Amino acid sequence: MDRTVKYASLATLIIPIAILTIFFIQVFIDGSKHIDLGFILGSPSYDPGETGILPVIIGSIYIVGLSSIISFLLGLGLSIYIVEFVENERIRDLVYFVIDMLAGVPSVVYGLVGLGFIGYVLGAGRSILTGAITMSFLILPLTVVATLEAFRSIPESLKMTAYSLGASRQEVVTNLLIPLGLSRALTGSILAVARALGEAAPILVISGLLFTKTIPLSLFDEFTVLPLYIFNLVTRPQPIYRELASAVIIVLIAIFMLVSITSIYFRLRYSYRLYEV
Amino acid sequence: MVNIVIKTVGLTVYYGGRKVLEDVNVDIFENSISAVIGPSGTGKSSFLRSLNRLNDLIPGAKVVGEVYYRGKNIYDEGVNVYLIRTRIGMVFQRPTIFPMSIYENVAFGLRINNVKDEDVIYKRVRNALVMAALWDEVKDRLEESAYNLSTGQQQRLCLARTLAIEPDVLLLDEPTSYLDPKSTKKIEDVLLKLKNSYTIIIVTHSLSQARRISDYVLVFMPDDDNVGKLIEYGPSPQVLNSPVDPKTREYVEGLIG
Repeated sequence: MDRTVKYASLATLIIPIAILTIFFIQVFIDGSKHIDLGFILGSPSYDPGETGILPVIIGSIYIVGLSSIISFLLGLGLSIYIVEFVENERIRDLVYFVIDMLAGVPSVVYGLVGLGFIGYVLGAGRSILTGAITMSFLILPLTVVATLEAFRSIPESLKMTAYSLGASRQEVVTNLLIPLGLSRALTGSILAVARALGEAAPILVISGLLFTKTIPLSLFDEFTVLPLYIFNLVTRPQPIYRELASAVIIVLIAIFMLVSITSIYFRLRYSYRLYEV
Repeated sequence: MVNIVIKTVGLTVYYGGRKVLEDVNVDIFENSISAVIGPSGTGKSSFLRSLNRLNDLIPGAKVVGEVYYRGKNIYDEGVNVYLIRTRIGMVFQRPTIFPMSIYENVAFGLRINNVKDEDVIYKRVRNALVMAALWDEVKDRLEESAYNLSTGQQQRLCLARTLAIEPDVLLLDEPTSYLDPKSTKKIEDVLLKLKNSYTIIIVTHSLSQARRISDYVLVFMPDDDNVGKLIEYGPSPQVLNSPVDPKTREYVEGLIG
């Protein structure tokens, strides 16, 4: 019996890893031959041999960068408020509940609300700005969890010490919580960045653009993102497009790994020990 | 005539509606060490935290009565709590070290209190470390993490951090209970020196520590409802050698507590 449980649980570990590995190998075999400087720095073309993805990469960088910054700042403010300023347990529980609810809303709904409200009511149109703000709300539950965890990890005794030295609430936030919690909050938010990088549905609703040759420059330009372009490529029948999709997936994974490595670097560089004292 | 630095009148403390300390009336004299003794859970720490309004920060805590610091009730409306806490400093039971350098730990209170001049900060950090008898041990490694210090050194660092903001009164909540005898002695020697310029109130679980360093002793005991009360207080030799209250006698003879 014990052995059955052991091997069954081992299988649940090995099967997903094996599937992922096979998937990555397949993607790499298909896609790597298409990746060169022309592909990275070129524009999409109707000739599959000539095609490039620079406008799409720029679109993704815009969306991920902006939404991560907006969402992180929102998460930071919200967490500080919850940790330091909300004294009523019920209100705190209500905030947690709302955050859980937000995490459960399908991403396409975010896209519809974003397009309707930011795009049409506020007049930002089908632009990068609309996409980035919508995306920042979509990943907000993840950044809030990360920043909350970072601030909660700071021992109560250290806060008491700061207060005993004459600190006000605001000074405890600016001189203790933020300097001590920031690096942990940043590295914890990496999941949110990954989500922003990988989401296609809300951008499909907002941008609607599967293909563009123009590099987006201003916040009000039209744009598309890597996951959406992958979607575009795989819907075509010719096998060459499947290979190109694999190439874009490799680029997507490479960008994500770059972000991860940067985050790990920051964690190691600015890590410190916090003792529960 | 000796100056009264702190005077409590009818000081009563509740946590979440439960009374933990009742009707404490006591005078604390300038440039003396007052030891607060008694069994665990008799409100000794609550008493200490009422004196610098740190109880304000504990959810559900309520303080009734008056605490006069140099003649002014610190619970009056409009009192600047932050200023009070810089006049009445505190050191906790376990060293509460910030994850920063040794230097920045001591400078923390100064930066909080808007001291901007780095020369002034350096001088006050140095003075505080000298007073806490830690300077010679750390002067060559001020930029190192404070976690590299031993527990005894960390506690003296906490003391230095409090001294750096130049308070008038020092509250110490069992500061040596996690320290070995050697480190304990160092802290006690420092306190005996500091007495000349500070008023010190120390909660201690150790009667011998009270004997060694205190001028006055406050004895806290639970009553039948488990509410802490100040049952006896006076000059140390008197309270520790010939106590009036029978409960104090049992406690100092080691029969209870």
